Amino acid sequence: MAGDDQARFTQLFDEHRQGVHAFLLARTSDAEVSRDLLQETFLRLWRHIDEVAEMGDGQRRGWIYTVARNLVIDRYRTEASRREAVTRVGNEVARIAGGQVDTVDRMADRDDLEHLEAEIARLPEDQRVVLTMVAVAEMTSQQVGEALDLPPGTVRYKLHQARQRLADSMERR
Amino acid sequence: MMTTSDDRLDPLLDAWAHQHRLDDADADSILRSILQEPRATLAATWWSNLNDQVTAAVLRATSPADALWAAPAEGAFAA
Repeated sequence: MAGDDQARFTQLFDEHRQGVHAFLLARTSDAEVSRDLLQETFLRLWRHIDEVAEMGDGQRRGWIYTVARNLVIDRYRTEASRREAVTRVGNEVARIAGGQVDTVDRMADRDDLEHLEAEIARLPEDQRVVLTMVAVAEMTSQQVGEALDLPPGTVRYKLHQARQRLADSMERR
Repeated sequence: MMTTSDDRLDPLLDAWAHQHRLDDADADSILRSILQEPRATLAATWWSNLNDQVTAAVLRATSPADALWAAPAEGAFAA
């Protein structure tokens, strides 16, 4: 029934939206594109709600992230598109550094935040994805592992590597 | 064990994550937009319909045109 479908879909959307958004953000480094792809990912889930709702948690998580991953691949099939995205990252950094959010100004120095943003963009992609999913979506290593088809220990190792690189970079400043 | 670099990195990472987290208003807007989309469910006969269409297209593409089979008119090749 339509009402049941909407309830099931809304529950899945609430459960996975932050994680999928963080994954897309890390893969695209573009807030606007990641929101577009998030919508497209969940639109496909909506169209397949009957079959996806029947899956177990792990399989369902795998399905959702496979869709998201494929959408990123489609989006950035050419290197030219990727270069354009990297340029947009710079604009995004500038926009955030220009900051309208007072809390950020209180919590951290703007220069440090700008530096961190640039360093995160320079991380190897696998480390950036894990870091973003843990930091932005507040996912556990277990959840990230299920999403990326990685053992939790590997997730923790990549997270450690990412943090170490960022900490080293902050130390050098 | 927390180190000095962790002490410095963690608040920055928190601030960065806070900036990038999908906020509830955006999430709500995306959710409502998706739920407005009709769910395009496939008819039970979609596979046979598709097969019929593919077969028809293949037949059209591989059949010689009728005109090629028609006998040439009397004297068509006369000089």
